[in-house]
Amino acid sequence: MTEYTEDYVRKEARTWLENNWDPNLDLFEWRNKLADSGWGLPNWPSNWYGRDLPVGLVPIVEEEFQRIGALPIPKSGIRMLAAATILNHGTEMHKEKFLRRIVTGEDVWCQLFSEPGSGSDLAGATTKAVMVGNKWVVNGQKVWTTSAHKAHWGLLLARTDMDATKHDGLSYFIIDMKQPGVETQPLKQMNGYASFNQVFLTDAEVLPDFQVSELGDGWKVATTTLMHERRAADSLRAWGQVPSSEGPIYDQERAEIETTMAPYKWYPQRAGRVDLIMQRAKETGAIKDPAVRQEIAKLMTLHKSAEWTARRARSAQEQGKPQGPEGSLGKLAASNVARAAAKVHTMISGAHSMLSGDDSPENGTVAEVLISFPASSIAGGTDEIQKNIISERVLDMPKETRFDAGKPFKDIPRNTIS
Amino acid sequence: MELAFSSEEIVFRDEIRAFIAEKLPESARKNGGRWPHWSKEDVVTWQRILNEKGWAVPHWPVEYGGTNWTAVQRYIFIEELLRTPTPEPLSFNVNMVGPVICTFGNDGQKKYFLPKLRNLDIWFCQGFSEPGAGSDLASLKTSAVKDGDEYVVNGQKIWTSQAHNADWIFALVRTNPNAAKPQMGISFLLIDMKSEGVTVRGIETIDESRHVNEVFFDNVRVPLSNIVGEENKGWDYAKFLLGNERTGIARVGLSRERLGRAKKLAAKLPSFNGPLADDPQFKRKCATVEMQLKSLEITIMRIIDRQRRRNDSTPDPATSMLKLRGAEIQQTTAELLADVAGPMVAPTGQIRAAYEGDFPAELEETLGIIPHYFNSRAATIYGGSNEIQRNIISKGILGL
Amino acid sequence: MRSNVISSLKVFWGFKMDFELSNEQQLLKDSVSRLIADNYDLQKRGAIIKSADGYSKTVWKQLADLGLLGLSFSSNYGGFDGGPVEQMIILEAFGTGLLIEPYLATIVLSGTAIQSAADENKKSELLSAISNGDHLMAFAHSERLSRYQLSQVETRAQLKNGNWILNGEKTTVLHGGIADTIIVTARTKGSDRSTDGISLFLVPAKTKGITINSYPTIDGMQAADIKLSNVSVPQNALLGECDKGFLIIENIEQHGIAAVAAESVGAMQCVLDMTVDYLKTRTQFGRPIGDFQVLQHRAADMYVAVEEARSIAIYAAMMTTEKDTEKRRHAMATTKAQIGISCREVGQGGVQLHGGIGITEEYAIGHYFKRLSMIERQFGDVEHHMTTLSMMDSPD
Ligand SMILES: Cc1cc2nc3c(=O)[nH]c(=O)nc-3n(C[C@H](O)[C@H](O)[C@H](O)COP(=O)(O)OP(=O)(O)OC[C@H]3O[C@@H](n4cnc5c(N)ncnc54)[C@H](O)[C@@H]3O)c2cc1C
Ligand SMILES: Cc1cc2nc3c(=O)[nH]c(=O)nc-3n(C[C@H](O)[C@H](O)[C@H](O)COP(=O)(O)OP(=O)(O)OC[C@H]3O[C@@H](n4cnc5c(N)ncnc54)[C@H](O)[C@@H]3O)c2cc1C
Repeated sequence: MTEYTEDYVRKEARTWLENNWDPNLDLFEWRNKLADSGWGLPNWPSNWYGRDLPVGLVPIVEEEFQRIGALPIPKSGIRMLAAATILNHGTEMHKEKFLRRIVTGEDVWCQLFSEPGSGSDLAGATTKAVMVGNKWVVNGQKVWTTSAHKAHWGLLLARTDMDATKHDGLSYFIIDMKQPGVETQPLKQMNGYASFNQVFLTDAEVLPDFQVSELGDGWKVATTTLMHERRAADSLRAWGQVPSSEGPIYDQERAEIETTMAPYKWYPQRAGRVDLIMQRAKETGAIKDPAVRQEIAKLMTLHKSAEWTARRARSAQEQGKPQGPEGSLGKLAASNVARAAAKVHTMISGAHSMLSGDDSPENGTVAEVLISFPASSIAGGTDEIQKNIISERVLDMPKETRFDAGKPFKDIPRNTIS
Repeated sequence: MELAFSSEEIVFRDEIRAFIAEKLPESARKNGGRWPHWSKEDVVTWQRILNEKGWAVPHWPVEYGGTNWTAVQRYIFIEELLRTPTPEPLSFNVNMVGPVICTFGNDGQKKYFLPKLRNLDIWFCQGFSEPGAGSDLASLKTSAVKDGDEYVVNGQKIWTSQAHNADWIFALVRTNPNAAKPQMGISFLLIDMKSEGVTVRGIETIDESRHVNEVFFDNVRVPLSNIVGEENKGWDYAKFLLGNERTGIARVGLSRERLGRAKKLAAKLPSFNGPLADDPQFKRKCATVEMQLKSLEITIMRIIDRQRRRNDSTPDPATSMLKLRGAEIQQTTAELLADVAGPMVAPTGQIRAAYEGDFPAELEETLGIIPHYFNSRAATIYGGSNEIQRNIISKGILGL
Repeated sequence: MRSNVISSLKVFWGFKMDFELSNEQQLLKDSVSRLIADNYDLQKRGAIIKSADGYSKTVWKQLADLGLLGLSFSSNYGGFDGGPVEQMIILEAFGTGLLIEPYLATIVLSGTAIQSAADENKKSELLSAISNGDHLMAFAHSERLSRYQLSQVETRAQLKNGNWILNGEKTTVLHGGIADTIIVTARTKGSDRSTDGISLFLVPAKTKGITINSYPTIDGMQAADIKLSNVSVPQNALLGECDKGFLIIENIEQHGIAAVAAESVGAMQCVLDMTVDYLKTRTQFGRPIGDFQVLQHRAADMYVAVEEARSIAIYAAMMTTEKDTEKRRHAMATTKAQIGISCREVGQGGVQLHGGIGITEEYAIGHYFKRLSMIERQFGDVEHHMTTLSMMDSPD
């Protein structure tokens, strides 16, 4: 293995960018260049669009992108979770078929996990997949499915065995969202967006090749997806920030964010928009209020600890340690930061924080923070669930009393709505 | 309390204040609650002064020495004592065993004990908790076996506050080990601490004192007549007692007194621009505590009032809220005081010896602060921990 | 043994955020941990507290022999050029054992003062003396009414006939009673709160005019109130530049913050471990109390608090060598604020989850709680540092 040093990587990245970056390129042409060179996702394997770079060095590359103004791969959205899952558990065919279009952003993905009767208790999913002839036929209902209405592919958790226990009867599939058996119905949120959906699966089909890992391995594979989702929580605030530079390639990316990436427009707000705090405090003069300053200091302290906790997690990852429950730590920290940031925004903007539209603070962004931050402690596993995970997996405390252990799934009491 | 007190109540309050100002002995005044525990002498002397005035047990039925005050008056009375501060009337006597004897005791017990409880001629302690039975009190093992006209008591109690000062102990003991439910085999027994076979061992605590104890019973013989109420019904009386304890434990006045002290001390210490007392953040903290105390105070009066109307000796689960918040705010104010003192909390009481009699009086003022803080950590543990109070609220009130 | 452990300590500490320990660091950690495990159960510690000196000379000697006292000093003065990581490892281990030896006073606070302000002669003399364990020092700065205001110095020093004459009173001087040399801060000009006009002096403890009242502190250590009446020291007792001591004092405090941050992480981890163990073994209502979800979640919150503290302690260790004073100031205030928050959450949580036994002297948890309560108030509490931060612009 090559011995990487900071300087070496910086120099290589800089040279490549100087030779290749051109704001007049077509967006997808540029992303294909990134895929071919491996500079888009340099910590990915070199045979799959990466450069085998240790994760700890990725920030160096990111700095070089920023320095020259080059557009990075949008590292956001379910598609990145799909990539992580496929890299871990997928077949060669899956990698061949899906990874490149994930890197270029041509395919949109969604995560078909939550159901009306199973949210926190994800393993209680009742959507069924049954082998009919040589195909899986899927029936059931999913909910809160972000981007389902835009998605080409879905990560599907479905029950394949009613006689097995709850966790053992699940399998994991990649489902084609553009087929007649898949019907999506948008749900409107309190912040005005409609980023998630109900998804009705009626005799939807999945080819056997599109099963991920073995039959009955669904829970194991879903856990990989979820750990990446939690781990990603600390970088949420970077998602969907629209670049402000002029030029066709930027226009193209802005257009993408408006359409396929629409949900990520408000994700930064749900993370609290810590980046706006100082600017807002200065603009409004709230910075002169000692009480506000004190709250800002608290928030920044929290933010700093969270940042360093994330760095430690990255360093652990760099040392080749598997994704572990420490992602729960980052996720909890992210919801604490979001909550505190919403509070400080309210202190700064007062009643104005409730306005939207032209006259409102930051064009309604502050108001959006206030009605979006609660999502942080729910999506991707609630705060309570993260604490359960820490207590069981890190502190090795007694497991919660389970009423479903060891029993076949069909004998377990379930929500009547499912 | 401007909001809630009528002019008659203000007059009443002033009467209490004047009485305290006139009668509080010098030694108690000097001690001023600086350390978390009052001396036995201070407690006894003060309670006798109150008893002489007829104020030792305002909330007892009039026939046993009560005053027939309204709930608000009773509240005003106790809060005035706490915010002065004076020693508190001994809770084991006046809030715990007293009301139990008034309600469930026989005539002989009433006649013998009640006057002595009021005047603190007998000092009681509470023998409930055991090493294996804390939150799960019903699992207690100390046994009382009938032998002729006596019970023979064997077992161990722990965390028994004041046992080293006590003349008697009221204990929960198991009289029927074979009852259908553990709660159904427990009796409420009064035991003379001078009985043969009773041993007390002090436990040192983090607040530099020794106020809790282990109490061992080794074949202690107790007359059958010392049982309160019926045999094996002790759990009901204990629940009644704990309900009363929870109401009395909020101690708003204590928190107010601490807040006042914190402000006074803050006026003498520097912050960034001028004294700490003028620091906006400090002022906000004080305002927050004052707001919390106000809400608690009004809630207490609502619940006391409701209890009167409920006319029911089973405890109101809402009293759990008082214990919960009262304890938390006591902790907040103890914390506030310790935060104001800051680095001045470092010395232990042994600093007095270091100065060899030359100890500067102004240092005395900050010495008890950290013991108060350490001691306050127990407030969410005893009398049913806050976790247990939340369990009671979620089951008893929210129906979960 | 000594050269063995230490010579290999000059390890790479680069940009990589390599938080995992190198083999050498692991070795260091193991040897400190072993030393503490062998010498520091609660009973032995209790006996040390009650002993006449209030610290163990044997343990101090062992620390010296292992090379731990001089670890972070420059090899020009007999040290081992250890970096912030090594310092963190040692202090974390001290936190685990609730060590009461005068490491903070002598090595961290006084050592920093000497390293940053003394001339070459004094450096080689004093640094090697304290590394050998032969010489103890204390840093006498705080005064009765200074609280956390570093520039509040009323003690005066005047130059008379070629000697400095010191007058004033210092309080809660950590290990002031056993120090051979005391570093005294005094005002050489300006008003009581001015940052300009403070100077530092090296004062032998036996100098005439010094009265020391030494007493145990709530966390089992020793502190002293020190009275100086016409204490006379030679002109060269001045440490650093006259009137310009404030920056040195601030630097000393910052090293103190990084040190107690690491120490507190060790102590907090112990509290968490003990608490989790207790939750698994204590039975009520017919099952381990760790079955109750509220207790699990509180333990999880404590875990989060410990990890946040650990992250920030690492950050602090990295920032002790930051050259930009504003950045360093900001980083240390951030650190101490977070440490204070975590100490409180973990200390209080540990006691609460233990129930009655948590407040006894006989059981370990209370002793950790007391040390954490002290650390909260050492070198400024949460509110103090939050206010400091709120008056600064974030340098990031
Ligand atoms: C913005 C957003 C986007 C989302 N996107 C997707 C998506 O793309 N795909 C997808 O599959 N899902 C998605 N979700 C769904 C999300 O994963 C679920 O909302 C979440 O897992 C919680 O499930 P629930 O809403 O059914 O709540 P419930 O599970 O019913 O929980 C209700 C409450 O009970 C608590 N609770 C439940 N179980 C326990 C327990 N064992 N111990 C303690 N407390 C408990 C919870 O913490 C919560 O407070 C999204 C959600 C949001 C808010
Ligand atoms: C200063 C002090 C004075 C005292 N004075 C007296 C006295 O005079 N007489 C007397 O009889 N007793 C006294 N006690 C004892 C006190 O009542 C007990 O400490 C208390 O009931 C808790 O029991 P424990 O200490 O055994 O803790 P445990 O019951 O072992 O509790 C340990 C932890 O588990 C939690 N826990 C336990 N069960 C549950 C549950 N079901 N759900 C959620 N959490 C739970 C508790 O809240 C606590 O945090 C005193 C205690 C103290 C600290």
